[in-house]
Amino acid sequence: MARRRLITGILFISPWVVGFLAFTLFPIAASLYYSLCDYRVLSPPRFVGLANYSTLVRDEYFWRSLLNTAFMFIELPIAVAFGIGIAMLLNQAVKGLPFFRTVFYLPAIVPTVAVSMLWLWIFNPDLGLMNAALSKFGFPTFGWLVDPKSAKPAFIIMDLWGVGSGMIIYLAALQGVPQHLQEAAALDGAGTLSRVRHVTLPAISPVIFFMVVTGMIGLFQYFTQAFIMTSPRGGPEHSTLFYALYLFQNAFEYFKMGYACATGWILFVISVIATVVVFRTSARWVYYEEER
Amino acid sequence: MGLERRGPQEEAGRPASHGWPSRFHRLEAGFGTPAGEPICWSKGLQRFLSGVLIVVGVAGFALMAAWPVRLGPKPPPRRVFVRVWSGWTGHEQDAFDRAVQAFNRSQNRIFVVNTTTGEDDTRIFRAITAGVPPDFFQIWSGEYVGALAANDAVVPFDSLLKRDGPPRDEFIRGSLGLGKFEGRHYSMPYLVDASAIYWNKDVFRAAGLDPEKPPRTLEELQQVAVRLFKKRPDGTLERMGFEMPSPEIVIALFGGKFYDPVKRKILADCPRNVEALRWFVHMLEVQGGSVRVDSFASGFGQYNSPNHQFFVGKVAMMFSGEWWPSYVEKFAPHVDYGVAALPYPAKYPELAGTTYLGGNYFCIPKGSRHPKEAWQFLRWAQAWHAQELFSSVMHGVPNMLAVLDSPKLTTGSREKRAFGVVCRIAGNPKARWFPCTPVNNLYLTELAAAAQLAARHKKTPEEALRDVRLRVQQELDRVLVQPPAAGVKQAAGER
Repeated sequence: MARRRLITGILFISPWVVGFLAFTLFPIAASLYYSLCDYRVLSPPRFVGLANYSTLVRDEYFWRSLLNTAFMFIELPIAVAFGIGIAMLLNQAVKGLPFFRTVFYLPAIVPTVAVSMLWLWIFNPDLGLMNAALSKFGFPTFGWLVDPKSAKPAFIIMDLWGVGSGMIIYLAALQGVPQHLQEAAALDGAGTLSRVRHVTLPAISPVIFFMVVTGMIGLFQYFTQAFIMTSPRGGPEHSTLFYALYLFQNAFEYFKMGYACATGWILFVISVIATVVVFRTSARWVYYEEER
Repeated sequence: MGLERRGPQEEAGRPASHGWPSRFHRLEAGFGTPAGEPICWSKGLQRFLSGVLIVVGVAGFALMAAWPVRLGPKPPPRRVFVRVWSGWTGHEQDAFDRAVQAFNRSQNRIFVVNTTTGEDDTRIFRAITAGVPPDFFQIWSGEYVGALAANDAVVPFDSLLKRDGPPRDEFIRGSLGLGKFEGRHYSMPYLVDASAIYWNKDVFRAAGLDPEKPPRTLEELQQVAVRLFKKRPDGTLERMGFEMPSPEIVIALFGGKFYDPVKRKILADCPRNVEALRWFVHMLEVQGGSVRVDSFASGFGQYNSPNHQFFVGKVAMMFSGEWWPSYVEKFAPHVDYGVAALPYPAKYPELAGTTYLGGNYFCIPKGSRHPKEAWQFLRWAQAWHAQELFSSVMHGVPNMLAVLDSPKLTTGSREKRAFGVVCRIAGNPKARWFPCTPVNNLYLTELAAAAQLAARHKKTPEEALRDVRLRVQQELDRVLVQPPAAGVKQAAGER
């Protein structure tokens, strides 16, 4: 009887299990094997040991793409600060609050491709709104996406425009901050800034932690915007050749699938290390209610 | 064995509900039932639901497997059904469909059906790897023909051409050369693309230049470009005298070399190529520099639209293909323009009248079920009427030399006369093209990057091209592990 019920249960979950094995676990395992092969899709993979990895270490573009991706991590604290800042403003009881919340959230629902096309024109050095606004107020203008110095900052600015998706999560967290703690702090004479620092931020720190980890993984995968917005691919002087873009080029443009798999595995290891580091440090700055 | 393991409650003498391990019990109980109450479905219902699931699953898979997937018209009985994949869409798809229909009407044995696959050339890689290729296919760029050939994924045409094809000297030389790898032909052309210089006569007149006298040499081109170049007071560009082409075209203009098929050597930094890149950098310099030009170019309108930079006067001269006269008539018939052969370096007069060729490549994949019938279509496509038909609707240059003078294609309207000029240029035996190698995609990407680095003075032209050579050669050495087949030396001698 137990066995029959177990079989029935397994049959019910089998679509997911089969899907997981066939479309997740197997490709992961296969990519590990292919990373040890010279595999160009049209011919069978040829085992080459660690040759792909040793070539990668000597590959100038690999390091360039890694540095470019690392640069984008500047975005992470700024995005967190922006998200929390806007969420705090939108957590105040002011007139027209739903309107403001909608306005700030709206960019988050625009597809990345559409956002990229839009910002392509905003960043146009000669005709774009960005330089027009800067010169109107007497600031220096930039080449944005055609200049290696300003190309990555341009992406960061664009991404901050879409900070609404994080903002909505911070807003939900802020609304869960215990009011009695705020009141107790106020009674003890804590000012606004002090309450933010000692009550609000610790209270929402699990959410900040979650956003940092997911944001970090998202930055490791930075691709679409660079793919659409910069030409030749990889941007001016390879300044927007991000890791995922380089991986894509190797896999789907040059059909160096084994090499791309090795690139992917290195990214995986880096992501795991970064996530572990963040998890380890989280004990110092993330507060869970049950600990108190 | 593990599946039969009992839960801790049972081990302790308390039977778990339904004999399930307790953790399963908790999950079960929490799922939409009053706490602690397991879902109790009758045996009959369980059997019925399981039966329905299995039947639906099996029937679904069976249906998917058996469903006849057939796109396009149904082939008439007793004719061999031949599938071709092509990338053309919209009116170009209609044009190719007309050519296919003409072939189907021309005989009663083969019925070709075209399926359009869009712009993604890599689709054919997946189809071949999966073992389900079409009978033949069109590929946009030569970037992948070499890779397909090097991996034996496409069938060489040499024996077919020798036995049944038109003599090779009847083709535009480059039309066959575009698909030639290690001495064998892996693609058949159906029209080619040829570059020419186009200039806006109104802009010439306004600048006091003779509108009927285009620059013949690169030196003249530079002088004229400087005269037509316009800058705003804030330093941004208002008009480029000459829109820069891709670096490989400039290299071809200088008579540069890309590849030595005998030694399997990448020749990216041979002296002529370095010379060409120097000129490329200099041309950008005299027009405001690379960053200014890139900034200006990022504001150009869509290519196939009335907002194209040539139509709105942002660019006075440019290189484009034989399709351009039709674009002018379609999007900006008011524009007064001229067309001529690409300029050449004054010190290499032997290169006068040159052009740069590209093309439509048709290949037969390994695994094609009807290679002979596919060849029949490609053979038919070389005939005068087939070339004329396709060229008249696709605005591509016929790849057969004899058809280049076709009055139907080259006389009459302004568009046809301009098209005729490009046809004559395309037939020039000095025409150049990018050779077929298995690493063309990487090679062209690296050349574009090198040109940008040189233009921005991050590397000298020599350094930039040397780095291209090293990088592409390294990749080529990895791809071509087998020794070259016999006949490559002879093929190289032909070049």
